Amino acid sequence: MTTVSLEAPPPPAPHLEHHFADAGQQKSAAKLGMWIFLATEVLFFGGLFMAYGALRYLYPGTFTAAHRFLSVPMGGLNTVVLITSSLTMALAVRSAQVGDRKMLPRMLVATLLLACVFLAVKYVEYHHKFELGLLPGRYYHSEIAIAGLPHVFFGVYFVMTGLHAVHVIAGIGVIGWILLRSRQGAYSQAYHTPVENVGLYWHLVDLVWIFLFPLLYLVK
Amino acid sequence: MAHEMTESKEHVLPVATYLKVYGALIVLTYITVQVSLLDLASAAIYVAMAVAAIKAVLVIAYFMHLKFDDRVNAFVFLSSLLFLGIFFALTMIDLGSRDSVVDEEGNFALRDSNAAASAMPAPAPQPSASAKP
Repeated sequence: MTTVSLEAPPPPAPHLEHHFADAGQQKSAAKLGMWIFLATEVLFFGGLFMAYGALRYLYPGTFTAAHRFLSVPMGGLNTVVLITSSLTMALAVRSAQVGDRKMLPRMLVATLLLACVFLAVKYVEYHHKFELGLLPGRYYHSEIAIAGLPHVFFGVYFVMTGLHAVHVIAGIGVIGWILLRSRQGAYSQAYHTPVENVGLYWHLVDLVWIFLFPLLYLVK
Repeated sequence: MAHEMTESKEHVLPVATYLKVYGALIVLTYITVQVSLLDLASAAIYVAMAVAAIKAVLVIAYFMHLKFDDRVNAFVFLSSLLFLGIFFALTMIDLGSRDSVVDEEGNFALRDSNAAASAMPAPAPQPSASAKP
């Protein structure tokens, strides 16, 4: 406990906004805000997972027939890529927590590169489908004989992986921003909340894929 | 610093913990793929989802730090799962019981549950399903 002093109190940390009592409260509020956002993302993707569930229930033959056109090695590779990117992101956050100012940008760069690898693999997969005419809904024009309603399956496939890819792209954007700021020395052991929150977002992107991969690529 | 008392406790995990979780996630991914090659019929999707759920718990608890965080964050996240569960459950109950309220042409017609077994599930009538140019 400090003794009573007639000196002026120490100035608040530069990052502390005036409407928070202290840095700890500010950080708790920021984290809670991000978790609430993640809850909305869960429900956002949840709607699409429900569509998958309902359409699969109604047209099981279609899903069995059409899912064979997805490449399990590529999907598996992308799963490993994203899980690894989650590791590098977690290590980036850890570097910020211990004040390791060299490791933080390095781990962020690693995360960024892995995210780009993910998109590259997705590009190859999409390109292959475009060539075969395996497109969603009314754009489907393949000559390959697939039982049931393949345009429904590919509708589900492209919307779910497409929305996920949009989230990856947004993730690349925010990670890039955090990387830039970290190089400018904005983050320290005392203040690194944005790094933690971007990390939480990125882990959610990984989580969605952890469910997407088996449902689209593996389950017959 | 005088503000230390109210700083949120920073719980730092050792690098080894992150690496172990990573290893487990990779192993579980491998298991997911291998199990999908077995013929489990209708159990396949449940097994796949169970493995995915274990991976999810690892990511959420350790990578996202939820195990060591303020409890309110866990409450927020778990409640989103609760509502998702309600959403899935009610929708699938609806779909699964269509047989007993819908006849072969997809028209609403109450029938007793004994007759439901003989009918195919009847989805909403398709306008024109064929999109062939």
